[in-house]
Amino acid sequence: MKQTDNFEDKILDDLLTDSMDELYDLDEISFDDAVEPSKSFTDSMDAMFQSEYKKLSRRRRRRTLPKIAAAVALFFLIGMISISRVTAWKEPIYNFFFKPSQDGEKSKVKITELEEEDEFQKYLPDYVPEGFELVDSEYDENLEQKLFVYKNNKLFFNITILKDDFDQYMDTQNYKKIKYLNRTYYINMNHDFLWYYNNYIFTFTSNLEKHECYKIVQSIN
Amino acid sequence: MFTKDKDKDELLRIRKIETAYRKYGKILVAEVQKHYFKNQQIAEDIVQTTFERVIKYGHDFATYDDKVAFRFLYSIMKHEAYKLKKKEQKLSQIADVDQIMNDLSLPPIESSTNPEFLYLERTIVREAMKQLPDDYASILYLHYYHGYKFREIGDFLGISENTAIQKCYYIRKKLKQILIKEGFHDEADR
Repeated sequence: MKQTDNFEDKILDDLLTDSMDELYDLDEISFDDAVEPSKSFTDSMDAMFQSEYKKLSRRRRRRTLPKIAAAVALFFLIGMISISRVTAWKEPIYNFFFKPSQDGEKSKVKITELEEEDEFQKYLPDYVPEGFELVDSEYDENLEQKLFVYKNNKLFFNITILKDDFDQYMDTQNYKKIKYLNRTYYINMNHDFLWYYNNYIFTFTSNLEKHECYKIVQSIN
Repeated sequence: MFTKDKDKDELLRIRKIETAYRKYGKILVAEVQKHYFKNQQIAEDIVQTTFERVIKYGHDFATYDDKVAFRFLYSIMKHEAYKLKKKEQKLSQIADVDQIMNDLSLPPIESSTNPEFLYLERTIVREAMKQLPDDYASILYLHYYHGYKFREIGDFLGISENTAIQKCYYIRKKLKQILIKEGFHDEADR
C-alpha cells in the first residue's frame, strides 16, 4: 500500500509539474494594454535599482581593499627582509629611519653583525694560560672569519676561525697530520695548528711552548 | 552566464531584473489594474513590491529566458495582488478552494484505456490549477515549475514557510482525492 501511495504521489507531482506550463496563459495578455507609469513610480523604481548598484559597488570595494592592503603589507615585508639581509643597504636605510647623527650626517651608525659574530664566541678556548687575556677580536664579514688575539706581555696566541662548508680550502702543505683526542689536526714545526670542525676551519698560531699549545687547542670545542 | 566572480554574477542578475522591469513593468501594472485594483497607484505599489522581492530573493533570475522571467514575475505579482485583495475584502479562503475543487468540470470520459486515462488525469490537474485562487497557484507554480523550496517561496511571497507547505499539500490532497475518485490508481493494481 505504501509503495502504491508513493507511486501515486510521484505521478501526482509529475502531473502538477506538467500543468505549470499552461498555468499562466500569456497569449491572453496584450502588450497594447500597457499603461504609462506615473513619474513617482518610475523615479522610485530607478532609485531602487541605483541603490542596488551602489550596494554592489560598495561590496566590491570592501572585498578589494583588504586584498590591496595585504598585497602592500606583503610587499613591505619582502622589502624589509631584503633590506635586512643586504648589508650594503642596511646602514643608510637604518640611519635614515632611526638615528640621525649629531653633526647631521646620516651614515654614522655602525651595523655590527652581532648575530653572525656570536656564533664564533662558542669556540673560544676553555683553557687560557694564566696571565693571558683577550685583547682583540676582529671579524671579516667578507671572509666570514673571526680572529681572537690573546696576549700576555710578549707572549701571544691567535685563533682564527673561518666559516667554510668544505675543508678543501685548508692549505696543509708543510703540515703534519696527527690525530689527537679523536680529532684530526695538522701541525707544523712552529706548533701552529690547523683543523676542520663543524664547518669551520681553525688556525692556531702562537709563540708558546708546545704543551701549552696542545692544551689550548684541545680546549676548543 | 555564471562566472567565478560573485560580484559580476550579482551585477548581471540585477541588470537582468532591471531589463525585465523596463520590458514588463508597464504590462504588469496594467494586469493588476485589469484583474484586481483599478487604482494605478496601488497597482504600481504591487508591481514595485514584486520587483523588490525578486531583487532580494530571486538568485536564479539571471538564468531565466524572457518568457520564463515574465511568468515568474507574473506569478509573484498575482500572489501579491490577490493577498491585498483578500485582505481588503476579508475573503474566506478554504471554502473557496473546497468549492473550486468540488466543482471542477471534467470532460466526458470515454473508454478507459491507459493513454486516455493518463490524459484525463492531466486534464483534471490542469483544470484545477487554472481555477485555483492566485495565492495557491503561485505557491504551486514556484514549487513545481521553478523547484523552489517552501522557505524560499515564503520569502518570495511574504508568507511563512509553514503556510506555503500547508497550502501546497492541501491542494495535493484534494487533487489526489479527485483523481482516485476518477479511477486513478497504479497500473499493477488492475
